[in-house]
Amino acid sequence: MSKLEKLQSEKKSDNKAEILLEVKNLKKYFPIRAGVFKRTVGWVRAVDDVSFFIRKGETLGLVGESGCGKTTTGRTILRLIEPTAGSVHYGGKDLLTMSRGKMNRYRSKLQMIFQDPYGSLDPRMRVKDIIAEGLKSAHIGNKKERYKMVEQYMEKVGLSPLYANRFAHEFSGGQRQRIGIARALIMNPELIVCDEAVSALDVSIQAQILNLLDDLQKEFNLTYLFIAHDLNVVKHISDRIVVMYLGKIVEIASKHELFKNPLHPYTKALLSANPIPDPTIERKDRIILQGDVPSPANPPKGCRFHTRCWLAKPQCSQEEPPLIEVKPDHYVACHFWKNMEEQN
Amino acid sequence: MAKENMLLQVKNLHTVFHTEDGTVEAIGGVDFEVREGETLGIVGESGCGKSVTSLSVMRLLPKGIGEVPQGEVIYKGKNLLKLPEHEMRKIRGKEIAMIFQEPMTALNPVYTVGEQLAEMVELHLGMNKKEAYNYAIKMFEKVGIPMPEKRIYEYPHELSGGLRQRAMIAMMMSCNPSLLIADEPTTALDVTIQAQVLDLMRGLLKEYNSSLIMITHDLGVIAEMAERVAVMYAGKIVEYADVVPLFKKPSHPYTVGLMRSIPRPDVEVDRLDSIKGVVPDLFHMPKGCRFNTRCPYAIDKCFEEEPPLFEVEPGHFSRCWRYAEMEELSKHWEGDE
Repeated sequence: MSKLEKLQSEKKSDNKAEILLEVKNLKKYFPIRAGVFKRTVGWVRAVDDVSFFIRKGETLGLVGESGCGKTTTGRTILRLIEPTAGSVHYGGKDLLTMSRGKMNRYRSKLQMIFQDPYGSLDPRMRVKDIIAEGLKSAHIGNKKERYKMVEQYMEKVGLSPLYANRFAHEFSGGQRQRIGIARALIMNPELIVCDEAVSALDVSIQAQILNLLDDLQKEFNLTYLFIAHDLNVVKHISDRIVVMYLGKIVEIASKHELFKNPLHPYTKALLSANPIPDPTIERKDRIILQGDVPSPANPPKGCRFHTRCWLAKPQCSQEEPPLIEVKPDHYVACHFWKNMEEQN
Repeated sequence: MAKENMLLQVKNLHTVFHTEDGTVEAIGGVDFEVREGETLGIVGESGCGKSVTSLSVMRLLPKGIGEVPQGEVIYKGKNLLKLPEHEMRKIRGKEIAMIFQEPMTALNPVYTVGEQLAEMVELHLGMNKKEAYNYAIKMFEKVGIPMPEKRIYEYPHELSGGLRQRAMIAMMMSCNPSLLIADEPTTALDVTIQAQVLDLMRGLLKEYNSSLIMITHDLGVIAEMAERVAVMYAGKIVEYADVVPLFKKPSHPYTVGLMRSIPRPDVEVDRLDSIKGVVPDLFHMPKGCRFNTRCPYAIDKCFEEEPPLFEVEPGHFSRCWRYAEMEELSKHWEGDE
């Protein structure tokens, strides 16, 4: 990882934008408990040594299949889950070593939008109280001022302020997601972690929410960490994309580079599995991966993808490939990325 | 259109639900056909009636709540809606099999997957227990489940999502059905697993020369699997065409909007088009065309009279008064502000 760090510090001067948040060697292991005494018998390595950074004002997409650790990564950064090891630097401070109290002061700057528009809103609270809750706990304004802000922000996200007194269940999925966005936005955040923010929505509504996120980003100069499994959505909204597999980052690149020149076999397989809504395109190049994703409790030795990789050689099952920057802003963790490049 | 290889014809199908708040019409007159060996895709968003259509065809609507007051479902010349229940039971599973979105809820958790498959072939193909188990192993092998002789003794929860869907497919194909109905079979799966399952289904359909009704919200899956497509909106088919003309020349504003609102891997846009508003609820269907509340091209007539299915080109139907202008109109789209 030292190479990555060096490159990043070197590049700071010529970067288009400064780095807002930097994640280094982040790990989250969940214990597996068994027996009457609930002894720890093993660890699920949900996030295993993950490093990346987010630039100010960009949207960083984080993709991967279920169980790859993308949600855990997002939650650990905000300390909704306490990490096992690593650091998250934001504004010169390490969020992970802060006291709870101090961290809470940073929370307004780091907000989150959740996947499930049904489960993430308290059914017993009125919409105005849901949206104002963050302000209240941060002791911002009095009740009247807060409700006034709520009205403003409801308008910003395309909800009529007339609905302020309603309950969450009276809204459709898309509207609920707007409530979730207003709740995050009202804190005037710098970074919003969007965890599968549109996956539960129908496509016509999904487009509305994606456009809204786009507008808000421009208006408030927001930075997004956009976690999703839908490649097309991630490609649409992101500037750069991080691909995860089984708790590890396998590739990071700008979206154009990633789609044009994927250097990790997993990325390539993922892209080729993605159905294109055009019946005249024949996918002759489709790579169908064999088997399932192995269990993160017992990940394969060496490169974690080698059990499903069609390019795997003996080295891959022994030695874990590090994530290296092979071109400006293109990182890949594969021993044989050069072969991939030739194939592309 | 050769009528002799027609497998299933659904004519003017209506489905209503009796709820506490009154009776609602979930499907308001649906017509489609499936020929032998053909794949029909039914696409639409949640609540459009695509799943209810399949349940109506299979006569699996909840008793006393769902009802089909009108319509015909002609399968191999027989109207399924008129069959006595014991006859229908011979058709379900053997002639027409169904694959559900979440195999965990469709499989019985207290029986091993092998038992469930064996039960089916014992019932429909009259095999004894031993034959049935051997057959189950063979089927599991066919759908690419590793170590089938061990896997048949496992319970559904012991299998991963992808394997469970494979087990489900093995079960469905075991009686060599003429027609498969797959309701969002890959929606719960990851894309690399989805690619595996779709590939498997394509292979099996070809091998068995079975027909498929593929119900999904995913236009990408439709483009890959279907030969003919019915687009549903608010309980009606709004467009019905072969897959290539449908994508090339969508002739209903809803189809146009649907296609414009998805981000595509092969096309880059700054901003997505969206369809404004939301699907009307069943209790408050708008007068006239059901899409008029969200349609950017609606004219006065659309609010007064419901359009019939017009034939745009031979075999390409659209339920829109302005179907003829659609190619021109669809150059401009007004979604949400």
